[in-house]
Amino acid sequence: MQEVMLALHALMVSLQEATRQTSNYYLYNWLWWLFLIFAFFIFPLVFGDYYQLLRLSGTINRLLSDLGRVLNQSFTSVVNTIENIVRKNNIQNVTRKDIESKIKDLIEYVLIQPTELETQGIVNKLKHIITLYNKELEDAIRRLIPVDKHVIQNIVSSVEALRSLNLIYKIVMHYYRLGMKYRNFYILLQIYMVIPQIKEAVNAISGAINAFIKGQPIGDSAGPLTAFKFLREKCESVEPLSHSVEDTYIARCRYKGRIVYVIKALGPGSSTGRLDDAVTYLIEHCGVKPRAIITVDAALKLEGEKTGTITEGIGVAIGGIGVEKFNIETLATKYRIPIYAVLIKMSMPEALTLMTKDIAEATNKAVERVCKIIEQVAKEGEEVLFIGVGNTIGVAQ
Amino acid sequence: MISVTELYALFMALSLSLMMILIFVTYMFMRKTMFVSIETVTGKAITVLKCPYCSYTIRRVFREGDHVGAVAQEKCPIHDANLIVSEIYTETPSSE
Repeated sequence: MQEVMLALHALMVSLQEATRQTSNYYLYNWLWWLFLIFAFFIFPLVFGDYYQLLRLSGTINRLLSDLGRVLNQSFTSVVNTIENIVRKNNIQNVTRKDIESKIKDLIEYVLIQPTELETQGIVNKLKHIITLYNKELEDAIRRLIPVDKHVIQNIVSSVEALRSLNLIYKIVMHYYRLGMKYRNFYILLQIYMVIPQIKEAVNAISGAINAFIKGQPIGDSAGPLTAFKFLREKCESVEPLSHSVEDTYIARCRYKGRIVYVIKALGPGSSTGRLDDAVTYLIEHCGVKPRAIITVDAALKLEGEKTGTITEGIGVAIGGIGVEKFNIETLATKYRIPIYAVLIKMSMPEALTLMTKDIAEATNKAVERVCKIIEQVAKEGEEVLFIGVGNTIGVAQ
Repeated sequence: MISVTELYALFMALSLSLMMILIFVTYMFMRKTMFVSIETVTGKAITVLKCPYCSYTIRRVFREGDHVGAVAQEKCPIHDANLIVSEIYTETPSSE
């Protein structure tokens, strides 16, 4: 202890000696202290915001250039796909320039949501607007390339995904420019905080465009794939029903003496169908009295959850804006029909990109769960509705 | 006894080391956030073909026009029936 005290004393004496040295040492010492004080106290206080602004603007600038690159690549692959279709089908008077200008127009096409000032009947208004929007997009692509419906549906979905990418790019650019215009790093911070989510969404959407243009099933196709496997592997005497519901497939089959109505979007084009209209058609027009409505859909997992985990529950498992969910819930409540849900867990990038092996295998387990629910809720001769919810791209019936 | 020049040099060395550490830490922190890159990961698609009458299954690389439910050109060696596309997926590992 005494040695330590002696050493400290020696250090203090040496420091005092240092300040009493020649004027040069004295000057250098103070200059060095001034530099340190400026570097660690004055600079952060006075220029801290500016430094943060530089740092954030650099990051967001880099993000923007990456976004622009992804947007351009995706745009080019969609245009190339359409050009190939034009060449393959020998469609006359359609040049690459025409395709590019049409796609650019469609990317900027807007959907204005109905007013929420008066909420009565808003669901029907929303459904009307969305149906019209989808129809307009399909018609625009059909005018450009009059080919099979499923090809058009795949191109429409690619354009929709491009539109989302473009919107993300424009929003990031808006905040970046606004922040730089007013030299306000808090505006940039709003974008900076959501960069991981933006990155994940952009990865997912650009992957979705790849799957759409090739017509491959995506993670969200898990619901329709479950319906397909149920029809092929578990059902007997499958009988497709003729009906007027657009883009939707309805079949009646027998499973262990129970009558099961299977509803899914009509594949293999990219479509989510009109599942609520199909349920209304069966219950209100055909007089079907189901003992239960079972929905199977892809559900977003939380970080740490395993992809392909199956979860059961009560309620209508349909994502999106909620129009279909609302209509099916209303019908189920009106006729007091129990509603069961089977969820297949996956992340957002997995839901939008090419289906993974884990998800494909999980659909087998989902089929088993659906069979178990049917056996539990309905006796022989009773009816059940089974809806395979999701985008049916790459999955026929 | 340590000389004044040596002490001053030690003081300078310590300050410089501290500054270097601060600059390095700032760089490492910025490296994680500044160089955000967007990569599209696309795995190779596999098509699984199944016989409609038995459990005979084969796997091959995805071809244009393949979709689940499509009748493939490949045949089952036991039943001589055309195989049906039962699954299309990528073997890219899922994110945990």
